[in-house]
Amino acid sequence: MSLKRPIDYGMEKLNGLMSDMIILSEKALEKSIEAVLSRVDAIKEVRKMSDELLFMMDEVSELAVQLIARYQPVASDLREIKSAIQVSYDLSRIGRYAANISEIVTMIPESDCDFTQFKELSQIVLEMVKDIGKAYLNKDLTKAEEVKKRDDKVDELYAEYIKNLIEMNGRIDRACLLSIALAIRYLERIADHTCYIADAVSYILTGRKQ
Amino acid sequence: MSWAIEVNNLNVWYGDKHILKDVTFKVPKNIIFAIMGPSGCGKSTLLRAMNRLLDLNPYARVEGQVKINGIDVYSDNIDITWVRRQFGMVFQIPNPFPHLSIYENVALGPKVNGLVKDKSELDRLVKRALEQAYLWDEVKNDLKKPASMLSGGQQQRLCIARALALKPKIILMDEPTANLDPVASSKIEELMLELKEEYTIIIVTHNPQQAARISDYVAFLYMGELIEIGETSMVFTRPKHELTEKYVVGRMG
Repeated sequence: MSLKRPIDYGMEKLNGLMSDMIILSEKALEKSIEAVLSRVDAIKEVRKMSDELLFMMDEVSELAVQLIARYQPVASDLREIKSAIQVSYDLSRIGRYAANISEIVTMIPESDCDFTQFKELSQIVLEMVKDIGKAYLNKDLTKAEEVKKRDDKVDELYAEYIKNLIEMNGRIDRACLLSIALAIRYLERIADHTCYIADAVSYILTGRKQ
Repeated sequence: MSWAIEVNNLNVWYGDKHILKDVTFKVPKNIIFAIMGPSGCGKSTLLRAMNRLLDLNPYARVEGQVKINGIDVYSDNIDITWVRRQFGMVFQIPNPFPHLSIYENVALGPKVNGLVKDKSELDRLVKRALEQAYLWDEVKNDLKKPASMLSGGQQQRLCIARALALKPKIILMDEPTANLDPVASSKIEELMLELKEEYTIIIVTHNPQQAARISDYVAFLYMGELIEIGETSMVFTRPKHELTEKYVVGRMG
């Protein structure tokens, strides 16, 4: 077994932080989806997770700067550090959108408001978030590419649902319509961030985006 | 494009030992070209094969071509003095003539080789070489003092001035900062960046960070084979070969 390089101790710490952020962003999204579907107020809880993710993003960039200053990383080390900065931002955005989704609960009218389409999309996007987290931590290019492919489906469904909502305008409560539109919009944005993370996995492994 | 130097299928043996294996590459003019690799990979041998310094080793055998301006330095009937004059060379341990004065260290080459007509021309040449080596201001009042009174970093710059005084085309540097402290090392590195405007510099280094800092192109040599060659910015961000990756991130051996 070979000895660890000095930079390896820092890289392990960086990966630990990234792993924590991945777990927390999944949890925030899961909680916010659950809150919308069961109309429960989880705003405080999800916002707290979102704030925590922002704080951790700063920790990641601080550590990344320290690693660059102390070890002058090159090649795969450098690509991984650069990507950690970007991916930590993506994860913090996922947390922020999760908070936005949880806030929708207060907008949904008491009367009938059908969130079936949101439910369908949320299942796909939540799986994408979970899988891209694993792909990032395991440096699994095949999985990352596969997650990215699923984004086409998300875009397709999003466009279709928005079209439906426009057609239904006037026939359903305006607050209902708006809350569904916003919720699926946030999901669509989250899916985009999983694609950016997929690009980062590719960049770390090959030096190129997909 | 005209090249400063072209190396074609270069092979070197020391006795039975195959030191350099089919090394082929080209060096553009006016750049810093770094050759890096772990100890024993053949990088110093490669440098010494270029200016035929290997001729001095009775056990060394060379095959292949090293071309300067299209002329193979290993071709028959070549004037070996001409070959050596194309190159200036700077070694790991600063090696000025310790008992000669600072002035004489630089003046000796041009005098012996009849490059100057008179004393005033020699004075100008010495001054110019010392200026180019960024040493003039530090030694202009001590030109008659022995070179041994200079610090290690100054001695190394004196060796560079001595090489420049012979107006070479290419400067070969074999680990020129390995024996210097960080401040003296950065002076040499800054100097190299200045000098590439006029010369082509080929530096051997076992410090990949140094190659990353100063070179334009870099070659990675491993066990006598040229594993990878490319623009420094590419080699240090996305090396093509797994061995290069291992070497530059410090995971080799």
